[in-house]
Amino acid sequence: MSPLTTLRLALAGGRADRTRIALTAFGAALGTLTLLAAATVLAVTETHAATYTNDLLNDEGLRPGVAFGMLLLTIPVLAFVAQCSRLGAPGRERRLAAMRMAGATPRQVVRIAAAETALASAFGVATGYCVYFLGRVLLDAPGADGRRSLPTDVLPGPALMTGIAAGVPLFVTLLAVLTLRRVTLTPLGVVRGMSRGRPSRTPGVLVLAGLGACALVEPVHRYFTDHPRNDDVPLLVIGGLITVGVLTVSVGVVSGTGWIAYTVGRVLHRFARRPAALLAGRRLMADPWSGSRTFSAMLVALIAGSAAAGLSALTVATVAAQEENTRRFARLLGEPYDPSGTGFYERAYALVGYAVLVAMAIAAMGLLVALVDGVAARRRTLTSLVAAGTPRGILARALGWQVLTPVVPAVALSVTVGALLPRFAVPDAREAARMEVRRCTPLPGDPADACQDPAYEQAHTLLLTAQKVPVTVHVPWDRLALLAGGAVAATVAITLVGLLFLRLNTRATELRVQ
Amino acid sequence: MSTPHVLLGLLTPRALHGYELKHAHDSHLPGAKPLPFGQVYATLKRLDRDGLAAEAGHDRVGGPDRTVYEVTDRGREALAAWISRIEPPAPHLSNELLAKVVITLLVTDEATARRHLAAQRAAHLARMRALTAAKSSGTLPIAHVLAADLAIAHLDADLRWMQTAMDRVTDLHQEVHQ
Amino acid sequence: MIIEARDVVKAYGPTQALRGISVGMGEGEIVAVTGPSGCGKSTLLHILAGILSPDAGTVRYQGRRVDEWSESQRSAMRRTDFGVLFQFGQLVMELSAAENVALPLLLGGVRRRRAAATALEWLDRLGVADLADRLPGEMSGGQQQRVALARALVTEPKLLFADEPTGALDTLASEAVLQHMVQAAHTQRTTVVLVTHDATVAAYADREIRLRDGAVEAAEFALLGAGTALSAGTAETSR
Repeated sequence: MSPLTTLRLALAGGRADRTRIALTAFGAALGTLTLLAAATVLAVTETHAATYTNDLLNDEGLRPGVAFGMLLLTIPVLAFVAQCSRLGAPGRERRLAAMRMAGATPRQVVRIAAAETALASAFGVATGYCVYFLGRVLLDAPGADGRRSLPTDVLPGPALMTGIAAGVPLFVTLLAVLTLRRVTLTPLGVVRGMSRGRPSRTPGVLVLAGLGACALVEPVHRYFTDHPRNDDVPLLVIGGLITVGVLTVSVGVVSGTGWIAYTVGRVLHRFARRPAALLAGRRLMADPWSGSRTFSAMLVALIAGSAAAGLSALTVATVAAQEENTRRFARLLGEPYDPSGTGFYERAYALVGYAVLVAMAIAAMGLLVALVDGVAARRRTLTSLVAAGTPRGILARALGWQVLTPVVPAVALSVTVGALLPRFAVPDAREAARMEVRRCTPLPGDPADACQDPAYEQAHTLLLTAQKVPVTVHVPWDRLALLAGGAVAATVAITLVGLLFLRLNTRATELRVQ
Repeated sequence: MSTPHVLLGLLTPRALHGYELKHAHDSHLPGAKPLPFGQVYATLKRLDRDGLAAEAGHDRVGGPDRTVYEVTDRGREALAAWISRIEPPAPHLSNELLAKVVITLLVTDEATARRHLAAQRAAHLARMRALTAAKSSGTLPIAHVLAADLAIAHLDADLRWMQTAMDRVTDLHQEVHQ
Repeated sequence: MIIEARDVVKAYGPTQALRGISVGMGEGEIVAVTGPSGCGKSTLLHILAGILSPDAGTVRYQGRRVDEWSESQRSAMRRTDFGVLFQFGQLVMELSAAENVALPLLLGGVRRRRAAATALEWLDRLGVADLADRLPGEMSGGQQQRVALARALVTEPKLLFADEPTGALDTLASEAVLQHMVQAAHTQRTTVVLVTHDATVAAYADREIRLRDGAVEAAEFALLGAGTALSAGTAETSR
């Protein structure tokens, strides 16, 4: 099969296929931009340091952390691209099956599908590069002191640039081929590999196990404090526990959405009086996993966001307590005290907050894609219902119920679990010990350096004490509420956009499309 | 149609005399022409002669003496052989409808031909409707339902053929007049 | 005439689907609309049912101009007065048979328990009561169509629009659906508009309206007189 034929066949789709191609390109462009941003931060060298208004870019030690955070942002982007590759998939799979019927080999069919994604992502990467170079020029605004807010004066090395340009299309294409592996395209149609049963209790066990792993951190930490060692074992064990805990909790919450959706569906079905709730409940029971597929990126972002909020509250509380103790201790010593404040930490965590926001925005786009695809796939049934006189408002309400009822408990769960994680993981400094200082203070009237005299010191040394303040961590209700509220509001907004699409897809002319 | 084999089949469930046999024939094959008594008796004699059926007694109730016949083992074998023989898929080409439509298309213009065919279609459909209604009534014995099915299928074949014939002629006219 | 279309024109882009069609159906009548594929019969059904609006011409239902109504008015009318039955794909795959049949009643504000009871009654009338708790995916095509027929009739509509209702079924399954449809329509005095390309299906109707290229080729009652002379001789000879 010549490359030209492959291309022609790859681009032979309809409306849904064109949308998928456009969105894949968009996702690839987004991924390219994030990667380029991370590479740019890494390209900042010592000579540039202190030329930016943002301390995070100036500090040698923090820059890799910033770059790593940006790399993490590519995860929701990838989730988005994966979501997009499902758009209109049944139609494409039927088309590929028809090509198998016409004599195409399984390998050729995969190549056709891969060609589509490769082309789309290559286009997206090219767009990403254009936007990047354009942005460098447009955003390059050094202040009066020659300091810039963004590192628009550095470029990543040529190796990294080529690596991103080649790597993104390769990776996205690989992802598409991997998703196709789940379906076997026979000439007679599509056979789906997995059969999905009812959701089990495993997710609940996973969430508890993850929290348990985090709860182990404190006793383990205490053990290693009592039995000091000279190697890296304590660090590895504690780091491992935290990593395993966070991952297990994330998997648990994401897969738990299936269970939540199924249970919510059952409750809706049991108590529904109105057709909208009945339709939504049955739909949730029939495919509880569509919810978890759709929300996974958003839920992971929420866990990260609320964990960051919890960690931020913990850090601020710890630092504040430390400062207070230092202040009291300085007063005991009679020395002046210069507070450093918690501002730096708060700025750093605010940055994490922005990253979570971006991740959630991308996740919301993925949700829109999934919603639109779900409506398009059930187009015929929905149009038939409209033809039979079902008001579109009822179908819209059913869609709203179907999206929102599982989202609210899932969001609440992820925020709670995310906020709990740092409380379990970080050893709590609860000791309210006394600080004791023996100090000689000259009596009023005596010379200030009277304590230099050992005899005087002997006679006038007093035991001064002060109470250490315990670390009191406040639950960051405002931030958690903001995260949860933001996630639900984004879902509502996306659902409203999805409803527009429902309108388009239930026009009577769709009855002619078989 | 092979009358001897049909009569053998009708005699298989239970022994019958000639009069009963004629009525069994007419009610089981409602679409077929009624069988004359003479032919029934002649056929029975021939079956008896060939050893396919045999006399099984006399029935004297209320009337003349009637001979009751039953199927012999050889008769059963002959019947089985007939049933297992494939019918030649004969095309019904010696058909008045075919002749009429061909002539109509030859001698009239397209509009006239269409009008005739529409009328013919209406007649066909009316007959199909009557058969369908009878079939749907739910009171028809199975033999009659099967006969109605066959008649409907043949009428449907006629209709489809007439439609195709009309479309072909239209195409032909267009080709000629282009 | 319970429903009547006059001089209806409808085009999809450059394709003229209907070029000035006038048809009417009487109360309790079963009318087959037939014709080769692409003749505009489905479009005519969609326009009569108020699913599509005509480009020109009028549609009257019980004397009222429904083509001038708003979509929501027509939608409400379809729910209360009309039933629709398509070839496939009209059942909600996630709902059980009973729930699918109960759906129009629920939409009309009937309480769930009563709707379920009525739905069961209808499933029983169509001989599929034992499938009440099955999902459409677990039924045969014929069973699905009987459930769909129950759903179309459960509101006891004045008009039933059926578009190739047995197009995907074998002869016996098709016969069962059509016999139930005709029987139910006659007992309820429901008018049926039955779109089909199949003469054996059209034979279940009381009369036929035949379309060709977006126009009426033959409406049966008008041409029967002219055709009797020719048909009398040939009807019996066709085996």
